[in-house]
Amino acid sequence: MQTVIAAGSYEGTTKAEKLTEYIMHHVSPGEKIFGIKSGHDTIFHTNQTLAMLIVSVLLLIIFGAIYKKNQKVPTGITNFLETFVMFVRNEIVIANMGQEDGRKWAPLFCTFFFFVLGCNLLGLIPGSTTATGNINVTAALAGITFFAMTIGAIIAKGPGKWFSAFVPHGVPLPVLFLITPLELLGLVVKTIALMIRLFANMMAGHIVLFAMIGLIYVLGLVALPAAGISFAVYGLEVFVAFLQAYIFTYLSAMFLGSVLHPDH
Amino acid sequence: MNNIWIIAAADGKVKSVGDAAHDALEKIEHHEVTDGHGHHVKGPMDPDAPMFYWTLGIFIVLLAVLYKVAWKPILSGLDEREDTIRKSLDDAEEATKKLAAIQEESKKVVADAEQNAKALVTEARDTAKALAKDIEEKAKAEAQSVRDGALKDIESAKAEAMQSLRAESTDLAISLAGKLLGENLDNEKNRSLTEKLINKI
Repeated sequence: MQTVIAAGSYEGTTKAEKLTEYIMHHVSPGEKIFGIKSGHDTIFHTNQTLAMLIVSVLLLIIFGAIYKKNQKVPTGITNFLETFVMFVRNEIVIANMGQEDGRKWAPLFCTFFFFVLGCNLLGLIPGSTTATGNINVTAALAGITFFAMTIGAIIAKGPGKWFSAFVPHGVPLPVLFLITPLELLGLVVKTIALMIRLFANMMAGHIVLFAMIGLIYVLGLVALPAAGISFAVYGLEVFVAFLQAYIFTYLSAMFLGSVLHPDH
Repeated sequence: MNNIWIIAAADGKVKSVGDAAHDALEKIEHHEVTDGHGHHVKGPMDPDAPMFYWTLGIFIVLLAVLYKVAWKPILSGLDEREDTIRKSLDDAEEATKKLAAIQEESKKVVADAEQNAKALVTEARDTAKALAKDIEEKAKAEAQSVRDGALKDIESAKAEAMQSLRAESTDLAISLAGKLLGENLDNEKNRSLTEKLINKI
């Protein structure tokens, strides 16, 4: 099949082969989002960059304008949003980093959570694209966590104290020469794990959804029940969007917390 | 029978859908994503440096702007509200404690007042009783003294009367005897004699 496509001949390809193309096309950064042209001939690099910009603008509108900061007792949408902000601050950041550091770093993790959640959810709207399903995007996001764990923590604690987090107590000196590089390598491994986890989960969900809908495309109306399944998968994807935003934020906070407070 | 035939026919096709998804994944993994016309395009797993920098830039700018317009006011507002609630709760607890203390005190005051009043009433009653007794006793004593005085008066009046009666009768007897004897018996000898006689009577 690869040879067929490589030859540039689209004729005679089966529906299944076309489906492969559809799926690949759907999860790849493309030229259009909601029918709007993006990509190389515009200033936006890909439609996924544009999706991130849309999410950013939405977040600015939601938290900058709609969220009423002066309400003594929050009501309506503010109350709804506050639940999430409180959850991120209390259950994710403070739970992993302690009261003092947690409050200091909470803005970063609030941005993480809502940005990733926004990208995940935007990708679920038909005609859109999932920026967090692109490994370059998740690499940049995980890179921010890596910066926080290295440069951020060094600024916060000082280089000596930061380095001491990678030198476990009560370990003989020769073993330290083995363990400390491993611990330092752990930072990179954690970053890569963050990157792949978010990317793979978001992309896989879309492939499953497309395979379900693809059943109807390949089999015809006989496979109409697959539409019901794809709705169920869609519901699952909405849950996964929240779950992965939570997991990314939680693990980032946990990793940063373990660098800032190595004893825990 | 018909259904079985459809399922049998569909089975291969279902498998082909699974294969399609599998092929798509494999191509993504091996960076062989094509655009449907055989042209190689960037897949979601293909390294794309501008995409990386775009994300970094968007995220950092978003973080900075959101920090300014959203997170700082929102999080400090949350802290403020938490403090207010904590303070209110503490205040309420303190107020409850104070109220309980005041209630206790007022109870004590009322009890004290009651006791005082009781004592006062008892004292007043005792005083009144004592006073009444005193008055009664005094009255009794006075009555007694009045009676005694009266008796004494009667006694003295009686003695006086007796005395005067005696003197009168003596005079009368002498004058009578004188008249009878035609002689004035009114001398010292006769008087003493008469008095002796009267005393004998």
